[in-house]
Amino acid sequence: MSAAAARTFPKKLYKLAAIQDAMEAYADFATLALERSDEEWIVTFDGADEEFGAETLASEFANYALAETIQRVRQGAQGTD
Amino acid sequence: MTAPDILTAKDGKLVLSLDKGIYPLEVIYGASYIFIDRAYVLLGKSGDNVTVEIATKDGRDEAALRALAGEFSNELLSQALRRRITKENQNILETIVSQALAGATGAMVPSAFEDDEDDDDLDFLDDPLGIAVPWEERFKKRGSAPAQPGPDAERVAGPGDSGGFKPSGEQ
Repeated sequence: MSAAAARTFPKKLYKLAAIQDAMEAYADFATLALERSDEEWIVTFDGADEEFGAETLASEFANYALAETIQRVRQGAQGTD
Repeated sequence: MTAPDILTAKDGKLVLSLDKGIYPLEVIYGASYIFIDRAYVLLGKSGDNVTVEIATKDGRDEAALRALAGEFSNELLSQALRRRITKENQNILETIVSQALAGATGAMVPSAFEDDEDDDDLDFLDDPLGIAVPWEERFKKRGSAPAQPGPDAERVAGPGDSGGFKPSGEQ
């Protein structure tokens, strides 16, 4: 198990549906938790797979969430909140 | 356009600050998407600006990171130009697509030409020669008189018809 990591995603830049999709995709590699604040979502990664490490996993997760967000924006999909 | 500000370029991590008024979100998304396959990209907010954190997947020195910042800036310009060209040609694209779809569904005459007065006598629905009128309908209107045979109508031979054969002895 590696140390926890976290990534912050501003609500104006990322779609919630994209983050939820990413959480589902990465659920097997770490214990993920989603916290909400007024302007951002925070995803914490705990107990990440030793093979990858929490930081690498969090960075890959962020890429996945960004790609999903961009695809949703281009398709005109909703789901910001 | 103003170049993006480099906030940090060390430890394999580059942080750029972009003015949202100069670089629309759509442009930032486009450039970020291009970089996703070779770097970790994380977007953030800093006041009115958007921050882009680019972390290389294989650790690099500061010079390489600054070069990466230049590449990202170029990509931003490229995306901005693409966006502008798309907007400028939006009407042309929509016209071409709508005409292609109209043609595919059978509506061959574009709606823009339907009410054009100059084209009244060119309307394909006009039939000045009566070509579209069925033969039966055209000749019924002339009363009960025998219908005048058309050029391609079958003619019944009468008693005086010789069929064009005139024997020499009948002269």
